[in-house]
Amino acid sequence: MKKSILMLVLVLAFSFAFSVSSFAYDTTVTLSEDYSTLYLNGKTYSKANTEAVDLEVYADGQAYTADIGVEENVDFNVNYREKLSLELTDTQKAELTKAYVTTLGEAKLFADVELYFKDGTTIWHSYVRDDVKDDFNKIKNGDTDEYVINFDTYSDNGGISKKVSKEKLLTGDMGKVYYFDSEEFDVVINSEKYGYSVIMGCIFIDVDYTNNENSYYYFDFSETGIITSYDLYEFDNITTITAHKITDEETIAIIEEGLDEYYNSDFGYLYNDDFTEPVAKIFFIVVFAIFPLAVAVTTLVLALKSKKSLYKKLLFTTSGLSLATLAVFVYIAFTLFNK
Amino acid sequence: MLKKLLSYDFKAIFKYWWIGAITTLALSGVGAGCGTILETEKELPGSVIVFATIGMVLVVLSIFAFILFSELLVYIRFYKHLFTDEGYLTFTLPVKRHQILSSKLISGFVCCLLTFIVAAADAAIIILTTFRKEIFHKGWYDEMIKGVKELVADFGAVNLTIQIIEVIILAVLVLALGILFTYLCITFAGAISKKSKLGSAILIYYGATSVSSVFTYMFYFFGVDAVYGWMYDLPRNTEIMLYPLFLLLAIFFVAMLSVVAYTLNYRLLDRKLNLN
Repeated sequence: MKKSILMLVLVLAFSFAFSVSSFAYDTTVTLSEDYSTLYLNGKTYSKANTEAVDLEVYADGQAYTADIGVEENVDFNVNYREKLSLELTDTQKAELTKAYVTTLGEAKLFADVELYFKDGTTIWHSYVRDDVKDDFNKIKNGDTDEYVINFDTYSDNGGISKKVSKEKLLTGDMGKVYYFDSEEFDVVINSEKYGYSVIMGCIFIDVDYTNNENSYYYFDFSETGIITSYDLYEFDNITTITAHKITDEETIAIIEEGLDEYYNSDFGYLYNDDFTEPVAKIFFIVVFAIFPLAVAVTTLVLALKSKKSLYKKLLFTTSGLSLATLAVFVYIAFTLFNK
Repeated sequence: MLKKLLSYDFKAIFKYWWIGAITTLALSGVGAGCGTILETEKELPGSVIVFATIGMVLVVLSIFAFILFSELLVYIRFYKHLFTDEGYLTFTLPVKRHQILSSKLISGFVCCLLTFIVAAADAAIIILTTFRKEIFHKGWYDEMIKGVKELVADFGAVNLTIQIIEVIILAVLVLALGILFTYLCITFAGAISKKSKLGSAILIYYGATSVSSVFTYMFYFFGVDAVYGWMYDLPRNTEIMLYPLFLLLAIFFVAMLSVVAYTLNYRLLDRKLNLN
């Protein structure tokens, strides 16, 4: 018994010590005086617009410096394997109240800096590592004819992606799509060399339930200034957008092939309306119509047969509530489907 | 007689409940302190941060432990009072069978409600203290009032009031159903099992909750999205009218299940006392 307890204590102590000692590496981030350049691990980063970098490049390290001039610098570490410190010059400390730096991805290809000035302004700068810059600019300029549509980025097999021609996406006639109710998928350019992606736009799939037909649209972000598809939801007064209607048959075939694979994948079934709608209808009818009806009939019969007063009352109450449930459900169903 | 039964049930349950309640309220003060340390912008030694984090985790776990402890008090009381040697005495009392069940339901309901209030108070103490700078300023209140005004403008005052009342009724019914459901599992185990009633009750409870979980997941995965799709092109007036109707449907459904659970409980307890 004593040995077991000693073993347990040793294991706990070792785990604690290991977790604490994981603050093994100390990386310092510095900025040039005009904040145009960032220095990290002996590498130089220059300012760039990295907002459209694929959001799967998660923050890997974060350092936070607050209340400059009032308190000492504070480091806040997200990545416990590496301590990230932000060091500012005296001039920078004089004009700032707070500063954040976030590095993105394990390879730290990108970094974001948020600066809070004493005059109340806040500035957000993004940086890309200088050796990656050419590759990044090439992608940002869309300097490739190949775009990739990401249908599913979470599958075990690495996700479902289909390559399409950029020209065939961009040259379609403009049409209006009610985007809020359309299925959408990101269109990206992948960096084969560095393993990141930049979102160029998105495909919207407008379903005509009456004729059971799909229309496909490509919405290019560079034409509108919107950076990611999430930005679309920021604009409450926008319900339709104008995008390139895709009419090229080869491209439509590729999209439909991707959709087919996606809907038949592990999680895709849950997003396929052809599958979920009938299941939902059956589910509601069974739970709110058939079940209450069965309960109502059963309890009514039992109540009529029963001789015990309280038991009779309980059964009649159950029957009444079941019929009330059924009645409300029928009314709701009639309202929903009798448009 | 119901009042006397209630009095004994309340004494039995709250004999230990108040200790847990006071302990978690005191620990929530500790949690508030830990939260303040973690949110501070001052430079603090790493060891302080580590201990504050551990403290916060332990405080949160203690709140969950208190909730579990309270529920166990209710259900252990039900089990001991009806299905152990004490049960022979209980069923010989000059009270009606349904009064015993009603007393257990009311005392369990009150205990669960008070537990929820204490747990909410614990959470409020920790959150309001930790994030006091963000919460206690005019901008936050203005946002809250703006949100309420938008809701009233969207739904109308009468419709919104009806929905709020329905939500409260639904919450009460769901709590009652949860208690009756667990009682039913214990009663059912007591009726069918001769040797290991408690073990059987636990197995029946987990089996039944697993089945009901399947329905709950199906509702969220398929139902919610589908309903949204069916509603989106309805006229706004019709859509607004449907919200209180959905809540009414839920109220009738849960009430029906609650009465079914009560009836089955009563029936099993009634038949169980067939000493012949």
